[in-house]
Amino acid sequence: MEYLLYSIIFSVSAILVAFFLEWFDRKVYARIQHRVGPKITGPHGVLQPIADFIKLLTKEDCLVKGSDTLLLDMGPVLSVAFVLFSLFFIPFGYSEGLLSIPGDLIIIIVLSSFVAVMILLTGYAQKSAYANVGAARWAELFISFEIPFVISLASITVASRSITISEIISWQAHNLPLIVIAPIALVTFIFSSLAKLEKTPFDIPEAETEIAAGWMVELSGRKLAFFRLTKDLEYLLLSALGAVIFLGGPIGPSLPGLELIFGIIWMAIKTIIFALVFSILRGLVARYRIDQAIHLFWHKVIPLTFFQLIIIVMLGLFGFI
Amino acid sequence: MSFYLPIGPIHPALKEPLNFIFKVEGELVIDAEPNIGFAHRGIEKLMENKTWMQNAFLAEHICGICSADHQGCYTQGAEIIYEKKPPERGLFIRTLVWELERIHSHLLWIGVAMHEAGFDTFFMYAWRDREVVLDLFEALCGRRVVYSMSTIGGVRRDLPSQFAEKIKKFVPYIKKRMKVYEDLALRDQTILARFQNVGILKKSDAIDLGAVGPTARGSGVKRDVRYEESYGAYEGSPYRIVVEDAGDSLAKLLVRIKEIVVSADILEYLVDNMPSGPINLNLPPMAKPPVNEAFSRVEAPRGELVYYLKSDGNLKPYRVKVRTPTLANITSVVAMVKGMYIADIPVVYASIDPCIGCMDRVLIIDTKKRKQKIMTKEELIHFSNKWFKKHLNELKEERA
Repeated sequence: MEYLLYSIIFSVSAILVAFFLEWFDRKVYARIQHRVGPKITGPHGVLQPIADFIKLLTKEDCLVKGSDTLLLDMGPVLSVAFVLFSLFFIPFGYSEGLLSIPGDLIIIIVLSSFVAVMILLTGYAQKSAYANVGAARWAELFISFEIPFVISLASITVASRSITISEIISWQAHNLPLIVIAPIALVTFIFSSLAKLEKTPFDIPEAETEIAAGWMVELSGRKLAFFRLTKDLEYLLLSALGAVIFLGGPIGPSLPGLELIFGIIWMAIKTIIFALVFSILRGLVARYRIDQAIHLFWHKVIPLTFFQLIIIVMLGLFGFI
Repeated sequence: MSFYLPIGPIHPALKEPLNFIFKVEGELVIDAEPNIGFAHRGIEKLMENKTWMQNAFLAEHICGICSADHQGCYTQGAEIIYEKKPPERGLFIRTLVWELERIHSHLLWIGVAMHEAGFDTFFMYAWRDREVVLDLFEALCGRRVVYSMSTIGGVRRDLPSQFAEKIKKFVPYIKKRMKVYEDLALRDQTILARFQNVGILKKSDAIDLGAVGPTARGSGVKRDVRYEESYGAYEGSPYRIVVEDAGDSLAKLLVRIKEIVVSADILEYLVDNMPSGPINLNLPPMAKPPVNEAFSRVEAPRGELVYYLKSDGNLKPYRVKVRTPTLANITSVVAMVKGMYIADIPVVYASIDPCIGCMDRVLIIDTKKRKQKIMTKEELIHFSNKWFKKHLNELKEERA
């Protein structure tokens, strides 16, 4: 009973934080482009993502004849659930998340792959050439970014000798933050996260000017709202995951007795840093073509991740870490 | 597996209604077929019902972006019909508007092309610089988009005070910005990935398909009306033709960036050498022209713009025919897009700077059979001969 209460409170606050991050992303992106961004709803437009979400919920939910309605009903709900569930493992204040079990990093990886599969199925469930092309592109992108994503996390686990998030954090508290030990893994992590979040230069599956909105072209109303929420939650998840495994998450200088509050503040700062990096990067580049993106991942990013893994293993063998 | 991917008439990649049917294999484009005629507005027919003077203001509404070129080309033709030569100062101001418009149109295009390639930040930057040009237009003509400057026998407004200083300030600014743009276009890896070797139009193809403007010049064809015949005040101006040989979308981007610099040079020349005197001939609006015909060409931002005018001595033109550059370039898209990926379609299509609103002239639709029809040249000649034979007596009565 207690756990149920906690998880509801945590879910609602995670969704609110995700909306805040979307506002932050839109504001930063707008400032890069000499625009003002959301401005009217709430102070500095901070409530704009929530207003968008509520507006979409009230919209009519219509589908093309011949679409797979069961899959399309299931997709948005399941993907939100998967991302929320994986957020339960992220420590936002204490050095443990709401849930903490041995090997929870693996669970996060698996759950985030489930979301990718839901996106793929949603694309193919719609009866539209644009959605099918978008889904095919997403599948091609998925086999490119998932491997460097997992291997860059693998080099982290090798360095800290653990696949549990709380142990990775405590290892960083006793040694160096992993950004110092595995800087190349950070770069590959950011690259594959950008692709996972479908941000420029990897917003290929939903390229607006090429295939309308790609895999989400026929979605409307609640389904679209939930998929947008999924993307926001993923943005929060990947920023927080980066903060935890590269910057040590909630650890940092604090006053005795106030560890929780300082933990939350440190975690917020580090998450915002990662979110800022994602936002700025997407403002500075053009969109790659799908073949160019695959080429980039398989020829440059994946060799880099293996290089990093070898370096970490060597450092471990010779007793430096 | 090959299937047909329809793009348009309504699609986020196309800002104006046009339909392309692409035959694709996976992501590869095998063939393309353009279908035009969704924005036909009947302006040529409407021009036959308005006086020569009124038509100058109808002509500029053919296109929202190159409106001054349409108006200028029409008035240039009408001046041949009236056998009048406008005063020097009028020609200089007209050319000034043309060149400012070229800068604004090319900046607009750079923004659109970058948006098609997914580079929204560059899009915002280019349109921010375009605002400066629009402010200059506001000072010069009182309007930002459709200027109403040219009239038969000159221009309607003189330069406002301090305008030469504004141009003097603007020229170094835009040159500095173009340096930045050129650096970005040549150095940014993502721009190179999307524009280099994409949508190549070979020089021989460009000549065969009759490409005009920056599309042709990006393929190494020296085709520019300003270069071929000196109209307006171009004679003596520091005009130089900009040619890139690569023929890909990057070459078209570079041509446009460099042309903005050339236009800035011409602007400086125009305000430096602005002659004094009257700005127009003050032709009476109801003056009847002699029986005459005229063929007028100008270099619009998108390429060669052609007006054919025919007068039968009445207050209203007998026939006005407009050929816009997009119509000349649209067939090049098919040649450029073959062998490209679906993702390249927006960039390749945008690289000709299409303007469908001014291109579409007539569409034949059989309402009973619900079918569109494309007429060949022979069919059209046959049809018109038949029509004239049938209506000959009516026409004679009308004339009498």
